[in-house]
Amino acid sequence: MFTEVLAEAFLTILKPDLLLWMMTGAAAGVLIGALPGMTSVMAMTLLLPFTFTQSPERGLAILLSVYVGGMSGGLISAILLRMPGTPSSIATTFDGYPMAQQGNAARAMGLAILSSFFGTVVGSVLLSVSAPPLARFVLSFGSFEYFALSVLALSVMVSLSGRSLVKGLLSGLFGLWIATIGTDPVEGVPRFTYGFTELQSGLALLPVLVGVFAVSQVLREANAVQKEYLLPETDYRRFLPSIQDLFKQFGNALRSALVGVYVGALPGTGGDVAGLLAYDWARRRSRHPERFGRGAEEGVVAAEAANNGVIGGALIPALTLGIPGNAATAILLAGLTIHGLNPGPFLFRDHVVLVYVVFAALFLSAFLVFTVQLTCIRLFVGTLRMPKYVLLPVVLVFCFVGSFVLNNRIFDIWVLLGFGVIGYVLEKGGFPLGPLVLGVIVGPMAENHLRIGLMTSMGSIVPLFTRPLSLGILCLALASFLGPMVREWRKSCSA
Amino acid sequence: MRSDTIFGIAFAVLGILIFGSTVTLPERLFDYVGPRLFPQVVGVLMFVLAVGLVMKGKKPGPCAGSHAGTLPAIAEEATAQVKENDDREKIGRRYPVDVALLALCAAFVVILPKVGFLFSTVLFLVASMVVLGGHRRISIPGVVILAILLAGSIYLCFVKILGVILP
Repeated sequence: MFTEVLAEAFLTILKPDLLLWMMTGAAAGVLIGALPGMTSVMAMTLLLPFTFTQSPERGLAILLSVYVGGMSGGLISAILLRMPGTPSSIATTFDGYPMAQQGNAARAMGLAILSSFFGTVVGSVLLSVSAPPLARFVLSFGSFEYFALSVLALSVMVSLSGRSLVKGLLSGLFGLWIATIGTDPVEGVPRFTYGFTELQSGLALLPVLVGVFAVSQVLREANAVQKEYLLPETDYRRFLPSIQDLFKQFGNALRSALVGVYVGALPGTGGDVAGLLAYDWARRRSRHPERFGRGAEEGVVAAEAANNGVIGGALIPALTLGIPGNAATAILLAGLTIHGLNPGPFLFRDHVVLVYVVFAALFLSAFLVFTVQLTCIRLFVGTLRMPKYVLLPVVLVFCFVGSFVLNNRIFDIWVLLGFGVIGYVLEKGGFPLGPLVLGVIVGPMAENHLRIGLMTSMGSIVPLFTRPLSLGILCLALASFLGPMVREWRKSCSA
Repeated sequence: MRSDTIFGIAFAVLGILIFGSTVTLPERLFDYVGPRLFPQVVGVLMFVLAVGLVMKGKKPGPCAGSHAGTLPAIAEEATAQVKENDDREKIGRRYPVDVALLALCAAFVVILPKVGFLFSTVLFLVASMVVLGGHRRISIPGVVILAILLAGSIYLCFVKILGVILP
């Protein structure tokens, strides 16, 4: 049954015209993902109307190729410019950019492309094999488990704090405060809106992230007047990693891809959280944790394998429960509902071929994106290799457009600029930006789930510590928070 | 005054402001936490850590900087990059390019709804390319032509091909 339906699904999508569409979608996704400020979500949103006229199978296959392309494309600007093309590539900048600065840009991109491909393949295999049982497991998560999970995610701040733990935590707290701006999600009370109606729905994540990373980077680069080109020279002779490198990174890539699939399956999380968690895990497991942040190959592999593993993971609750794990899967579900199909358990019963088409299309998209990136990497890099006086203003215009089209609001461009300045100033003061972003992303999840959990337990916090899953995750979070602090404190005091 | 002290004071003030702003919020209506608690905790922790940063800046203890060089050096690298850039800029800078570029960005956002995307983008690109020294390499008319071509391409790509609505 499984193989028959899967074969039928592959036959449905292995048609020349659809493959051409998917290839074009993959290339468009990679290019849009590579432009700072443009995301895979934006690419999918822009393309969604074009799929209306297609059959659901074809429409979903094209959207998936754009999604995978967009997620992978972010690595190019993350490595070359330290500007994550998509929020999911944030962790890739940590080591990818230092590698590029050391003249190893091609190697970093080669590793990242292979890791992205590997992450997507692992995600698609796991999606097709384990979707129903894993979805049942995720369904057993209550609010306390989600709260514990967000505490675990916040504990990563310690690892992202770099030289000064105090500065890292302050940056993270600033991010947490930013996340509270807007209407209180439980009681509907406006917080920190100061009379601005635009603030009632909170600050959109995209302008904040693009401002903090891309605009601040543009301002920094603008000051380096002696440097005509932003991109370092790229030697493509060492583009593809050797077989030994692949063996060396296999465990790290597999572990990170699994983290990505798992995190992706949790609604409300995404490639950014997965990338950060996998990066942190890779650092802890590494024999040379001191190299992380300075061009460690393991860091690039972990971040990219994880953020692409998210794709398969996010589709698990999306298809089986009808719960979108992130904005991209929400668009995929919108694509389904537009065609009159209801995502959820009934989809597996009534449209089983369609479900397997999704599995097959994701698998195929991984190969298409991989092919596009391998063959056209020089073209994509060439697009970014313009003189600085051309590239920086163009990047800014893309950032403006990306922030504007999100909600068609000029206000979001102001937010973009504001956070560009904040990121620029904070970094000049030696404050790391990773914790800030982590706070913005994870803050709402932590607060909402704690409050909803307390409502369901009639105000008792006890279930947080008595439910085995939440207790286990909390213990992990505690170890993750205190472990590095104690270790570093001991080391420095004994030195 | 050291930059850590300035940042510490700024964060301490922000912590107080955050805490102070929560006082006007209703305590709680039907849930057990209310809209106040989370930002209050953030405000208090921010204040405490900010005071810690100020104190640390004044009195470096024996274990100060205990995390140096061991955890991911994101901040470290970034700071080094910033300093490197600053060194470069000392060589040939006549005015703060970052501030000028930021002012141009703000001007762009102000004129965008008034004159539309295409015209404001051309103006922005010309001005920012001049600020970044492009006119020294391809002359002013060259910069203008390049800006028109770039703005036109971006406009065509978004509006005509992708169907995005721009002002």
